[in-house]
Amino acid sequence: MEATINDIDHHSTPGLSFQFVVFSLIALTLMAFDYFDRTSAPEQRSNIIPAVRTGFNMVSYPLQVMVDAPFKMYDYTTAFFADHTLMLAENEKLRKQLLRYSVKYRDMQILEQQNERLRALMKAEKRPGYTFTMAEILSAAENRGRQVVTLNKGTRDGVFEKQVVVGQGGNIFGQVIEVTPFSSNVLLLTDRLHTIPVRHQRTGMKALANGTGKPTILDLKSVEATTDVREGDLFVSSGLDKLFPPDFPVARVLPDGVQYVPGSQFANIRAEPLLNFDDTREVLLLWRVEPIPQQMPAAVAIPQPSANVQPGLQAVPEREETRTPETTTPATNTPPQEPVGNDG
Amino acid sequence: MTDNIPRFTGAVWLSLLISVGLNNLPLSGPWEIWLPDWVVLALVHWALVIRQKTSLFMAFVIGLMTDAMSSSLMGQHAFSYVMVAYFSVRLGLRMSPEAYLQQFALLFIVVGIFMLANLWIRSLTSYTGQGFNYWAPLVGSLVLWPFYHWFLGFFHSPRKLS
Repeated sequence: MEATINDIDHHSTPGLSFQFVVFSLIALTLMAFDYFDRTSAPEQRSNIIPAVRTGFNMVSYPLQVMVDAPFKMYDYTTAFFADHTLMLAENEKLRKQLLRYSVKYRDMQILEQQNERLRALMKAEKRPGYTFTMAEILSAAENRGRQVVTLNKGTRDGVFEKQVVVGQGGNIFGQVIEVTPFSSNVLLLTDRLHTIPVRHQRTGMKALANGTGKPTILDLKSVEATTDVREGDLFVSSGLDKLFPPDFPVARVLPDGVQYVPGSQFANIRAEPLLNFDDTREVLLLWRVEPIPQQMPAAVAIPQPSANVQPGLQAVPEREETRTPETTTPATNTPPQEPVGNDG
Repeated sequence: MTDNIPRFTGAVWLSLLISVGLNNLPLSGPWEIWLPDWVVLALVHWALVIRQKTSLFMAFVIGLMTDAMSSSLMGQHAFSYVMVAYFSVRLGLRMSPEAYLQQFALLFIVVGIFMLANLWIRSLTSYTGQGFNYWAPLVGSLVLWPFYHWFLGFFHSPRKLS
């Protein structure tokens, strides 16, 4: 054996073992620190490991862009050589859709104004609005046990940690867990360690939806066996975590997805996310436009402290013709249908 | 006897970066669970082909990159890639480079160690419980090894030793 080592290589083997020990120790130390970071309370966390992570994420960004480039090129070329008539048909369809949505949007604006007036009357908190930005999925590391994808938007575009990401049709996609200046990593709803509080749309019952690591199944936990859940029922986000916006659709109960275990207090419910995570290439990043004001127990606090407080509290949101969901406030005066009116 | 050298400067780095790219393709399907870790295959390839140039530093850096991209525990892949590189060099010394079947045995052992280490570290972060699916890439590695080995052959060229 000695002879084999010697006649092939004289110098590298001893150094190699030393290198091996050194690098293993460094890696183990890093892991220990990262593990400590993950398990300890937020205020005790160091920011060394996240900095290292961000550094490596930034280094790997060009690589991710390069990996994505062929796909983008494919999309581009297929779009470029697409059948003209097909495109026309699609265009027509989209135009009609736009027209329909703009009418609905108008209706929604009216509803929102009404809602705001009613909320003001009831002295309820104002409803927050949202703005969106489109982001593209650069790469996916889903075969490593975690359901994490990388987006091509980062702090440079205003992305922040724990931002909510929404997919097609306004279904919740996941949340941002790491941000670099150019890119951000998003944890999907279906990750094994991800949980989102949901609400049964029909009965209003609360539950928790856990990811299973499989892109098509969510597990619903802590659902009482006595509640009425049937297949095809919709679960929407409840917003109790103060992270995900309320009433966004999350999952639909699978056929044969409700199982009652004899003797167990809870039912086993399997639901299917409304998003097809495999096919999603573009997502929306969501910004809350107007965070809920600080006076938390508004409903309780207001009746007691006499009339002094009420006008003060109310005065601010009183005359708000400019409504929250759109950032473009003048849109309320000028009808937003203008572009549609031209082609319709 | 012939020896191998990288075909151009940075060939090893390039091949490893390509492997990282392959690991992170934005694709998915039912066949995805069978896909091997391409970086492991590349590291084994280089350990067999030019073992005196194999640097564990490279494996370490690529591992940290992978950790950052896949949000795994920082150092997890760095550790397991370093192990892969080291073990494949050490085991590669014990076999003749021409014996093709021996390569499969080596690959089986090395990928097995790699996956075991990852499984152990993952269990710390409670990412376990995939069942036997977790071991599917082990089979995938063996099946795809000849093709990837052949493909990576373009990154080095033989050199006559005096």
